[in-house]
Amino acid sequence: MSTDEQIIYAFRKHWVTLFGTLMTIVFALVTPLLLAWYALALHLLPPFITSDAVDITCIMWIVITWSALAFMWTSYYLNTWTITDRRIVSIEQSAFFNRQIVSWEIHNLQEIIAHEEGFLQSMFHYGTLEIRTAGSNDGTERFTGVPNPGNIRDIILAQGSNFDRLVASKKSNEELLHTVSHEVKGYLTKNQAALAGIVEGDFGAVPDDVRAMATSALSDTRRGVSTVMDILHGGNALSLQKSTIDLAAVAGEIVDALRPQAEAKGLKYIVHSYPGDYSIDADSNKIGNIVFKNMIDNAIRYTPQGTVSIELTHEPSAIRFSVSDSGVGMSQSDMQNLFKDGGHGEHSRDINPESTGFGMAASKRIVEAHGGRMWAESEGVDKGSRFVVELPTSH
Amino acid sequence: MISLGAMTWIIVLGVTVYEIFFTGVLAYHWLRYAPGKTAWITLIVYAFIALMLVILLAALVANITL
Repeated sequence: MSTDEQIIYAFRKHWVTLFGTLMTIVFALVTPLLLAWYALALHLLPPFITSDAVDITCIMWIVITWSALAFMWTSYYLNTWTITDRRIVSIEQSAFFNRQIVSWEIHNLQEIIAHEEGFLQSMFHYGTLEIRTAGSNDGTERFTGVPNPGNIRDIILAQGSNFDRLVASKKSNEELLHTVSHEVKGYLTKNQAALAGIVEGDFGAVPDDVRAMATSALSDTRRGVSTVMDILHGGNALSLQKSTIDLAAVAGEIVDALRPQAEAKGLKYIVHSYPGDYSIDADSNKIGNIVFKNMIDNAIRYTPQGTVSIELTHEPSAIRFSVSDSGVGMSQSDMQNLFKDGGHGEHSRDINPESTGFGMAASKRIVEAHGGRMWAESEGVDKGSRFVVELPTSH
Repeated sequence: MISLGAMTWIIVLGVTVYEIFFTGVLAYHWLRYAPGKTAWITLIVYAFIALMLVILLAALVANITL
């Protein structure tokens, strides 16, 4: 479940559905015991079967049925349905080591039907919930033994309509942000060019105090342009232009492009890549030029001396790209702010004055929009950091 | 040839091992997938009854063999 997904309602089968299984187990328990004791009492058993043998067998039979009862209760309790603000998740524990988790996106639901049929279902308010989804093969999923299926149906429908409203609102916010950011970026770029002209002497000699002021303003303007670019990238995270790409090639380009920056600082720049198929369905530009670039660039910036190590590996169902460094590391509070918009480490601006605080947040959004995950690890300040991105191979 | 007394004690040992294994499997599932009060109540009730059954079986076998 993604971190911003909210659980709306969780439930399991109605307790009445336990009743049938319970009766079967009780019947299976009691019948052989009664028959055995009846046969023993009436001396119907062959002489070599003693009363002690019958007692031992009966106790072993109780042991087995007691286990069956525990198994039944476990299966009942661990079978759950959860409605979140995005999905319906069904967890089915059909045997001890057979657990199946299936989810249906709420926005894919086309129709939901609730049934309460028969005497028991009407009396105890439980029944069947049928959901029809767009794009599935048979199109219908059936949940039986659902308590108050009508109410559950209403909850799902309400979530569906909330989700549609949220998507529309998010799209409109993104468009607004994009337009405003583009405007601001235009003004900032013009300022940047003018200030650079003053600093570099394009307009002739200027007094030292004016040059100093222009240099400071240029630095701020550059930071402003970077911030706007990061916001634009982050805001656009959901509008991906996916195609099948070779992630090793994308990573290789970025790694080579940033190598001079690392070498200029005298850092040891180590690249580990292993042969294999690294093709995935992804937005090459966003993954390469934003996510990978941010990760490596940050590692180089925040490592005064030592090593930056980059690794690309193939996991069972994902490709993992990680960047480790022996740099300034992070405290716990830095790690909490790291992936928030505008989030800075306590001393990050001292090391990197141009840090906008949006780069990592934008990168994480892009990775999550690909169905992947991104996280950071550090043992503490001055103990280096490791940033990891994991992208699923079949998404 | 194995005696009847030894065989009954092997049965007690088998049932004990089975109960320990089954309680372990139950604990693994409950504590991993549904940790909390219900999990602990289920485990304690199951283990208690299982222990009683094993003791009952052992007492019966002891009564026969000893």
